[in-house]
Amino acid sequence: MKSLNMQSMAKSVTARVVRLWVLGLAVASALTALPVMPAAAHGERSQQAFLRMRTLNWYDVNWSKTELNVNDEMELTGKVHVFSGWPQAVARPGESFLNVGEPGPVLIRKSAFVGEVPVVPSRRWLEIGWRSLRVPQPE
Amino acid sequence: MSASTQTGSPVGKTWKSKEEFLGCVILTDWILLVILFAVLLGSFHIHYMLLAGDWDFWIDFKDRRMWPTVAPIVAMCFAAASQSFFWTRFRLPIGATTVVLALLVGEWINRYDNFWGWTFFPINLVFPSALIPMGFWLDIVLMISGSWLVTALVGGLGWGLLFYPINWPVLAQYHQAAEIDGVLLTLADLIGFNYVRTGTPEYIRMVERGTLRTFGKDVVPVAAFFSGFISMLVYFLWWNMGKWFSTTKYLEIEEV
Repeated sequence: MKSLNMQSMAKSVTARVVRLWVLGLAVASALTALPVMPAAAHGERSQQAFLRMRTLNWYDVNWSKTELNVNDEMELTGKVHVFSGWPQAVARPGESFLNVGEPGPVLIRKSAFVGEVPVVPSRRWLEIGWRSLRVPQPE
Repeated sequence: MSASTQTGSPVGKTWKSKEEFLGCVILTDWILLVILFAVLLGSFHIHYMLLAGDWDFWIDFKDRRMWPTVAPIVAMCFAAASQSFFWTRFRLPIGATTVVLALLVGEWINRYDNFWGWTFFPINLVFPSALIPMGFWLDIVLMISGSWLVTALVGGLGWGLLFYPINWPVLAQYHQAAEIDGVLLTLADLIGFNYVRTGTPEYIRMVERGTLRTFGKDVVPVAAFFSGFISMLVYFLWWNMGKWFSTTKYLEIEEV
């Protein structure tokens, strides 16, 4: 009688262990379906700025005028180098938009071009590791 | 001797007459109503700006998919909570209209003084979305049905469906075609391009990518129905939120 009890207990414990294993495997396999993201907040900021923000480098930037009267026009030109090594902490460029910084809309933007192509709306014009401008032509 | 008796009240009385007493009560009511309006305005404004912010700020964010989805859903929260307060406490079917009116008063102060007055963005670019007819609709459904369940189902769906049509009379003119440097875009997009927003980058905006086309070209009705369905759910949740916030608690007589 006693051994029977022991046997049934052992059976139920085994069944429970098997169930736990099956459940564990199911959870583990379900977890594999989750998207893998780079871990954030683990010291990225401890890297130097040029490592974590090395994306674009603007050079030969020129303001056609630095003093303006009301209704005057001004042209801002420059070149951009896109680094081939893209920081992991920065999202890779998909659609890109050429913007400019100013303290409120004190200047009205009339046109924006990359190469000869107008970049009024967002479009895919930025490629990592650009050596020369290969701007897609407007459809 | 109290200060009030020095001005002529009978000894032991605070007020000179019943009329003076009633006048004080009415004045207090008005002060409380103004405070209530300001509290509704401030809290709803913060909520709406945090959740629908850019879609409500800019004319070129007022697209036909994200804007009619996001704006009514997040606006429903305070409309439902306010209805819960006004209806269960006072049987007044004015909750939704009052709270959206408060929001719009706050928004217009903000858009006119800050966006235009301080920063020079034209009002054409930054006027807020219309919501008041939706408030009327929700209050009328509650008034006629007397039921929060019916208001959630019928009112909530109508809330989502009404949003685009009531904004269309103002919005339509900005959807006319414009051209700049050979690129075709809407007048709204052109205004958004002209007036540079340094702190609001273009890439935040969800550009329509041609999905959601099960029903052919009609994107707005699909977005509006979806918005209506979620508004129903939000209504249930926030009606109870409003109920919880407007609980009246009484002190036990032993505690006084």
